[in-house]
Amino acid sequence: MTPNMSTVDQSHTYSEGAEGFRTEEMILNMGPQHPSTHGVLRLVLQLEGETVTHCTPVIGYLHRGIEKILENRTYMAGIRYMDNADYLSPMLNETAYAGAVEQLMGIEPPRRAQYIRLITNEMQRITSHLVAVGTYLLDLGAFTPVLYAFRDREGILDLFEQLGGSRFNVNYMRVGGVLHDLPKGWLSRLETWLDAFEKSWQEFDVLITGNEIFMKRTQGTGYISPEQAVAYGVTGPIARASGVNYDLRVNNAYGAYREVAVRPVIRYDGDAFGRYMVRLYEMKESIRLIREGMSKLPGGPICTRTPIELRPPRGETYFAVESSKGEQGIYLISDGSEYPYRAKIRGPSFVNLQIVPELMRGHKMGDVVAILGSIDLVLGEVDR
Amino acid sequence: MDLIPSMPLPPTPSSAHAGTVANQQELRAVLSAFSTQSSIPMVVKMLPGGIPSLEVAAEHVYNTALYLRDQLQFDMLTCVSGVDMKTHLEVAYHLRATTKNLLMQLKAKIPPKTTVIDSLMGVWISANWLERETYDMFGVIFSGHPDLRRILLDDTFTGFPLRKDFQTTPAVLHDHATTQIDPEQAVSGDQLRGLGSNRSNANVFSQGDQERLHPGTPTFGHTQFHGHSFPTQTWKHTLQHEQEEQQKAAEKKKE
Amino acid sequence: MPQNLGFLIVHFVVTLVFFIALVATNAVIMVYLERKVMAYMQDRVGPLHYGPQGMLQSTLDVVKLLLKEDIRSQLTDNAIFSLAPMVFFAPVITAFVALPFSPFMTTGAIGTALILYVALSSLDIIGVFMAGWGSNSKYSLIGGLRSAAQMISYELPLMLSLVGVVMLTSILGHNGVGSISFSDIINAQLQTPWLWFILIQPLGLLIYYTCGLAETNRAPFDLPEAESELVAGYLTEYSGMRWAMFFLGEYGNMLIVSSVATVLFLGGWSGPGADLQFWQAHISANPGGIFSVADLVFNLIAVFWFLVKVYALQVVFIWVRSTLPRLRADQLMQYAWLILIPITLVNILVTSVLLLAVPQPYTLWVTGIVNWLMMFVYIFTLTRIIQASPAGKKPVWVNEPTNALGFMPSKTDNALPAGSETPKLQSPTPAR
Repeated sequence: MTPNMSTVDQSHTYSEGAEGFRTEEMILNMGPQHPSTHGVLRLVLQLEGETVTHCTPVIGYLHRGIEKILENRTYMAGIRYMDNADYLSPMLNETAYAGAVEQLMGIEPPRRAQYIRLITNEMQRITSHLVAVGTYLLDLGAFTPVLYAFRDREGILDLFEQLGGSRFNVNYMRVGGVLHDLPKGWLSRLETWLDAFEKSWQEFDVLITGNEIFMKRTQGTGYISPEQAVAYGVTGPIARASGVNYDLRVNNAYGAYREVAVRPVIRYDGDAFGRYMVRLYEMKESIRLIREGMSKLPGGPICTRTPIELRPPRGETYFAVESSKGEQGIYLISDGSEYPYRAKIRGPSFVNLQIVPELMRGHKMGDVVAILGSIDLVLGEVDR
Repeated sequence: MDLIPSMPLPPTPSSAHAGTVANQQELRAVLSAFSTQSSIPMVVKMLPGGIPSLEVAAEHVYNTALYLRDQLQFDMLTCVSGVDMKTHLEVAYHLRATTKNLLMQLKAKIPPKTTVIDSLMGVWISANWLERETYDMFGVIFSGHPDLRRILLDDTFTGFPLRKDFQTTPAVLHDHATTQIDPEQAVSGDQLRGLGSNRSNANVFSQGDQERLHPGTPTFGHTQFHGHSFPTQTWKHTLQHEQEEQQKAAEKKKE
Repeated sequence: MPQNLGFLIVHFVVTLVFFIALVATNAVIMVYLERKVMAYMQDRVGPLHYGPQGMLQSTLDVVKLLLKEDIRSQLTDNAIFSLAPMVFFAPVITAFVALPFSPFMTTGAIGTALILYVALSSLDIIGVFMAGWGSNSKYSLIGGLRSAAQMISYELPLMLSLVGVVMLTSILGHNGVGSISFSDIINAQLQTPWLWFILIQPLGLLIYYTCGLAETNRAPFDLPEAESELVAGYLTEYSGMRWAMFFLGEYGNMLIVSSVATVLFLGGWSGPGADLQFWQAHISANPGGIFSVADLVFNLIAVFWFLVKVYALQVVFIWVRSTLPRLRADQLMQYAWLILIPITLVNILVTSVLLLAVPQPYTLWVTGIVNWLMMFVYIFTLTRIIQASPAGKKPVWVNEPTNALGFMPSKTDNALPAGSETPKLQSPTPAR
């Protein structure tokens, strides 16, 4: 990708100081290869000393054309490609895609499948938030939390491996249900992990939340007002940290969330600290939801009987789930054939990234990573 | 913290009809009433999943969006998707009212053979990147957008990949590209787009199946390069080679 | 010990070899120690494959660095770029001149050791700044600038925190005249057994150590090479041996900072068994000789205790690094100018007043107790100031568990508990 300098406002690059001392604004290309851009994001920063006056994100380095690929895959085969969009929460993406196809066909998955989806989705949310919190602290210069986070995350990935055969790109959801039933003893292993994780959660809370330097770095950094959040289409933990009470699990409940009550975590800080706290407490809420889902888990089939060649009726629909980063929506158009006519992925990170230039304005160079990390980007899903 | 004033937000929705619409069914009724009252031709549908859809022509989309934002409090633009209907282009907007838990779809039909539609950035600021992405993938030109550039694809990319008439194999030979195959063999996507087993032909012709060499790779005489062009050893030759080998094997069997 | 030409030559050679070997091996030992200690703190195992428990890992790393290509970009300022590592490394080596590891293992009695040390430690910054400017990279430039600002700022509290110790020596040793010689300071701490100055000046040690972290560019003050912001700061464009020289210099700096802390606050070489009279009485038949067995045993034990203290302090460096996140550049400067410097000035004022006002037998007791109190007040106030969060600690939960079976939550359901602050959301939005 050629550097596009037309994006950078160069009209006031040069300025004369009070004593005729000429200063010059510096343009710093942060990324696409940089330790803390979480992949291949590139930020063109205009710096006045250490102060950021202008920030232009350049994306697309990881574009794989997933939407085009989905048009050329059957509905069932397309689920696998959703794993690669937001590669930190594949289960949630799969649920979105499978749910969209189900909505288009008018299928309702069996209750057991819906509860398994709920459990796996919440587990995935915990892993994603763990990565978000851990790497955020790594961005801020603390080396240890990320390793603790990944240690806990390993437990869930092992459970996913027992469930779907793969740790990461699980390919577990199916149109009308899930692929396999839970293996023998899986629930008790999950219970053990949850007990262990509750202790590690306390560890996180004690070690990170009360840390003075962490508070100093994050409080008041990158403030998003509720009006701003709604206007920019920001969803998920970021919006909830700004006081926007909007959680699709509650406001547009789907699947088993219609029966399992969710308490959304709301904070009114609007800054990076609030976002961190929302993620931290959402993990706790997810533990509670998993427990509740396990206790209510009904028996019965795990998948409806669907034809091998899925041909949804002609029509269009939009289905969204609350992903770990916000609203993960799928806009599907069917022309009655085996392949979707159009499958649009509405990625939360892509929309959330829009607000970053606004947040960076006037902050210091060191805050750039503090803000970027608090937005919790996944470039796989921004670029698709 | 804000040393430099940031971009002004669009005005917040006024509460003219606040609280009148409670759920998606009522929303549909309101939209139907609106469509009959207004002079703009509109189609109101209910999509699967209980999502009301409002279809308008491209020239009326801005005013309709203003109405939806101000009167019905749709304060969040969630998703902008382009659709290539082969005869014309469409743009689908998905709107949410965060205070009232409503979701609806606004669909704008762009007249055939044109690609221009009003930008909704003045209504919802989040339209910025979403419209850029739609332009990138479909070539829909949003007039009034302050910064309409490619966003996901390379600036030098030609064509709009999500259109149905886009050729998945490159029609233009770039001198610097490393993923070239013989341009004569570039096949229109339409021909290959079939149903069921017919489709599998596409895999034969699509990019990525043939082994390619990077121009910078030392070959030690195995392959000859002609300047900066692609290697002579393309998939045609490999196919030919395979056929020859099969013939030889068949001959051996006969003997 | 009597002066003797042969003895002096032997002394010189032994000391030189010891110091050079120490600087060279310290980096290797510290890298291994750092990786291992951090690994155990982080539920990992660290290097494991080369040598027993991975002990050869850092040695082989050094070999790799020596064999690496020296890459430099085309537009670097060649002279500055090449000189910078040497300018950085030279003061580190030179500063060892002042350090007494034991009565034998010094390069001589430098009367102004403290001043020399402070002067040399502030010379490093020239090398860092040269590296930042000569690299012709924006990351390096910002790193160099940050480093210059940081090191200059932290010089002041570092020096001021040592004044208290110098004043204490005036009470103990020289009839009212303080000393800035390291040997004299250690001797002052040896007068009464176990009277280390950490007992009397804990605040001084705390501030000195904080400034030492900043001087050596270690976490949480590692802004000049902040990995997540500036890739590697002023080291971005360096590779191979030039990079290794910065590396060696940094670890050498850590060693010096820890050594000076040991000398000034932890009693230098003193420790169980480091007693010359004891060994002379028990081992050696001729206590008056040039260098008897008793001298040898005493010096070995002294060096041992010195190194134990130094490495214990360096492990604290590692501990801090694996615990704390990084400060922001402006917060770093605020911390130096608005908190550390006033505190050190208050420390100097209180200590001097107490030393003058309190009569002799109680002087040290009173000074020590007041200083301990000051330290705790300082820590407590600092945490209280920073932790004052306007938004409270816990998130605001929605009061009722919401259920989508016919019940939709609205914004009013999120009302905060009575008596709490009005949330930003519910404040009327200004008309636009």
